[in-house]
Amino acid sequence: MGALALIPFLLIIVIFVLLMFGKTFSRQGIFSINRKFHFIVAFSFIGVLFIMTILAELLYPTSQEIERPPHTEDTSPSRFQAYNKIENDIIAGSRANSSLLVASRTHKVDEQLEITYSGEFYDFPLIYVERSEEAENTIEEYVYKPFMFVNDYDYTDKLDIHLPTWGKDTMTISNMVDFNLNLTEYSDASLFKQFTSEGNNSTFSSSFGSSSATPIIHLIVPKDLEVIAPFDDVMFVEELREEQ
Amino acid sequence: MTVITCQNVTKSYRSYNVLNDIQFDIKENTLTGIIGRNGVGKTTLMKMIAGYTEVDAGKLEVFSENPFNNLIVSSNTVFIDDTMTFPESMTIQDIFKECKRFFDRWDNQLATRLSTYSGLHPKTKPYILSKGKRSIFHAIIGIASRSPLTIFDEPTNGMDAVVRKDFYRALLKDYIAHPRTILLSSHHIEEIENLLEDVLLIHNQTILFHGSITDLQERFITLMGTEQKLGNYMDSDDVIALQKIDSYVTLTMKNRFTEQEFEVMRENGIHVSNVSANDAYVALTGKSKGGIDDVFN
Amino acid sequence: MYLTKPKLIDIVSKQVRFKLNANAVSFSILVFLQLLALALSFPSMTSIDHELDVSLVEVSVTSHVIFAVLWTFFSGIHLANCTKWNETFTFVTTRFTHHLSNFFYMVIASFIASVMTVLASPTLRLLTYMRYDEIPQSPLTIIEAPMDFFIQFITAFLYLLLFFVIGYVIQSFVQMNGLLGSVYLIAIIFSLFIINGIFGVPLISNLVLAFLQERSLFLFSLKVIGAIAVLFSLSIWMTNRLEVRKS
Repeated sequence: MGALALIPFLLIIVIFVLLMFGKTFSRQGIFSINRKFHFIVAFSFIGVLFIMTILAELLYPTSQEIERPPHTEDTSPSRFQAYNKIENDIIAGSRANSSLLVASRTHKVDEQLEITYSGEFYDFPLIYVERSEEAENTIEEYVYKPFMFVNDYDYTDKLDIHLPTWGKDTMTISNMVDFNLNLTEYSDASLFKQFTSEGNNSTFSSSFGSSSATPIIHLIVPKDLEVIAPFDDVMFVEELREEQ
Repeated sequence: MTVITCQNVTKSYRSYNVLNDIQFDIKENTLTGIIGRNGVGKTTLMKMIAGYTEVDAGKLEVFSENPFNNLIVSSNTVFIDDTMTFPESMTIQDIFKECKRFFDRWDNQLATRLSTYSGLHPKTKPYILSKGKRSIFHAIIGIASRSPLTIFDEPTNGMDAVVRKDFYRALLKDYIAHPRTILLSSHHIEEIENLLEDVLLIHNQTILFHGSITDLQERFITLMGTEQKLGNYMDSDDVIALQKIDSYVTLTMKNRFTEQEFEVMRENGIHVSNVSANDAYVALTGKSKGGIDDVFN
Repeated sequence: MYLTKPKLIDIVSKQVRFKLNANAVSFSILVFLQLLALALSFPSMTSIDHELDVSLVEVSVTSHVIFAVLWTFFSGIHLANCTKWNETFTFVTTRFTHHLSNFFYMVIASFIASVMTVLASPTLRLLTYMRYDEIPQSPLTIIEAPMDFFIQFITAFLYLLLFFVIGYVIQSFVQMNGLLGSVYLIAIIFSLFIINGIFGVPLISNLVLAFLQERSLFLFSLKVIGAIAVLFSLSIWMTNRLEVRKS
C-alpha cells in the first residue's frame, strides 16, 4: 500500500505540468484549459473526496469498535504493584503469584550452569538465582511477565515472549520480548473542533510515552551449583536477603 | 426625449478647473461627435455622463437620473475606451458570452461576424492583442451591444486607415438599422464629418458650439479671388486665415454675410465656398495670433 | 427607445456568475493546494523507538486547514484588486452591486473550500488505514457523531468566510485610497497591538480570543456575521465615492 502514497505526488506533478505548459497545450489545440476545465477539476475532486468519505465510514469500524488494549488507568496500578511484588516475594521466599507467570519449567542440571546471551538485544531480563536445599540436580525456572505501557494503553498481554533455551548446562537468553507496534493516531484540526463535543483539547501527543519493564526469571538452583553468568547480571537471592 | 441634460456643471481636478459651468442637452437617437483639443475635458465629460466620475457642481442627468453609481444608467450605457479591461483568463468568445449576459440587446452574431472579419480569433485573449486589434475589439463590443447610450472615447486610437473606414461604416449602418444615442470623440474630424449628425465642441472649459455639423460649417466661409477684389475683407477682424499666392488670395473668415451679399460677391468674381468642419474646428479653436512658426522664430 | 429597468437581484446574480467565470483558475489552485496538503500530511512516521520497536504515526488534517485559510485570505485580497474593480465596470454595475456580488462569490468559494477541507478528514483516515493496515485511533467518526461533522463544517465555513472578508477589506484599504489607505490600515493594525483592551492585553488578543475561545456555536456565528458586516460596510463606505479607471 506504499504505492498509494505516491498518488498525491503524481497529481501534483500533473497539475504543475498543466500550469507550466497549459498555455502551450491550449495554443496547439491539444485541449483547452478554459473555465469549464477548472470547474470540472474542482467538482471531481470533491466527488472523489465524497467517495473516499463514504468508503471510510462504511468499511472501517468506528472509533468505539476498534479493539484496543485496556487503558493503563485501569491496569497499571495493579501491574506496577504486582511487578514490584515479584521481587519482594522472591526475596521473601514465597512463591510469587502464578497469574504473573509466563512459564514455569524444570530442568536437569549437573554441576554448573552457564548463562549466556545470544543475539543482539537491549533489554536484559532480571535474573534471580535462589539456592535451595531441596533442589537436587534440578532447576526450577519461573519466568514472570514484564509490562509494557505505550501512550496510556497496556500492551502487556500483546507481548510475544520467548523463553530462554536450555541446553545441557546452559541457559541461553536471546531477545525475550518481541514487540512490534504501529501506533497510528489521527486528529482533526483543532481550529474546527471548537464546537464539537471534544472541544479544543487534543488527544494528540506528539511525543509518545512508554513504560516498560523486562521479564523476570527466577531460578531455583541446587545449593552447590556453579553459576557462570556474564556481566554480573545475575542476582543472588541470598545476597539480597543479607542486604536487607 | 432628452437623454442627457447638463446644467451648470463644473468639474475640477485638484485646483485645476477642467469644465466650468457647462450647459447642453442631447436628444435621443442622435449621433453626436464630441470634439476639442487635447486635454480639454472630453474624456472627463464622457466619464461623468457614463457615471464613472462625479460632477463637482451643477446638475447632470442621464435618462433623468444622476448617472453616478446608478444601476439604470449603467444597464443602458456602454463606455468604450482603450482603458477597458477584461479578466485576463477570458477569451474573446468568453467575453462575448458575458456581454450577452449583461447587455440585453447584445447581438452575438454581429459581434462574431465582425470579429471574424477583423481577423480576431475567438479563442484569443484580449490582453495579448496589439493596440490596434484591441481597439477593434472594443469597438465591436460598442457596436454590438446596442446600448441605448453608447459612448466611444477615441475608439480609433491605433487603428489603421482602412480599419477606421470600416469602423465608421459599420457604426453608421448599425446605427441606422438600430437607432440609439451615440457619443463619439475623435481627433480625426475630417474622417467623421460625414458620419456625425451633431457636434459638441469643448474649448476653454466651456461648450463653444453645440449643433448640427452643417451649422458648424456655416459659421465660416472661404472667399477666393484677387487681392484687389478682396481688399475690403482682408483687413476685417473676422479673418481667420489668409493665404496669398502672387495676387490670388484665399480668405477664411467668419460668416457674417447674408445670401444677397454672397450673390453680390459672386457677381464680382469672388469665389465663395464652404468650409469643412475640420477647418471650422481649427478656426474656432486655434490661436488667433501667430502659430507654431512663432516658436521657431 | 425603451430602457432596460434592471432588478438588483438580476444584476447581482449575473455578476456572481461573471466573477465565477473570471476566477475559475483559483478553484483549480485550491484543488492543487489541497492535494499538496494531502501529500504533506500523508501518514509518515514521526518517532521510532528502536528498543521497543514502536513506531508512532501521527496524522492530522492541519495542513489542509492552513492551506484553505491561506487560499481564502489571498483570494479575498485578489478579489478587491483594482483590476477587478475596473473589469466589473466594463459591464453593468454600481459600487454596491459590485460589493454585493463579491460577497456572494466569497460565500460560494468559502463553501467549496470548507467542503473540501472537511471531507479531507475522513479521506485522510482512510488513507492512513490503507497505508499502515492499522485503524488509527481517532476522534469520533461521522456515523458515530453526525452532528459533530456538521458542526465542523459550519465552523470551517464561518472561519474561511471571515478570512476571506479580512483579506478583502485589507486590500480595499490599500488599493482604493492609495497611500492614505495604507496609512490608515497601518494605523489601525498598529493601534490594535498597542491599545490595551480588557484584562490589560492588547486589543488584538481580545479580538482573536473572542473568536477562538467561544464555546457556543450560535454566539460564534453571530460574532462572525457581525464582524463580516462591519468589515464589509467599511469596504463599501470607502469605495463608494471612488472613481473608476484611475489609471
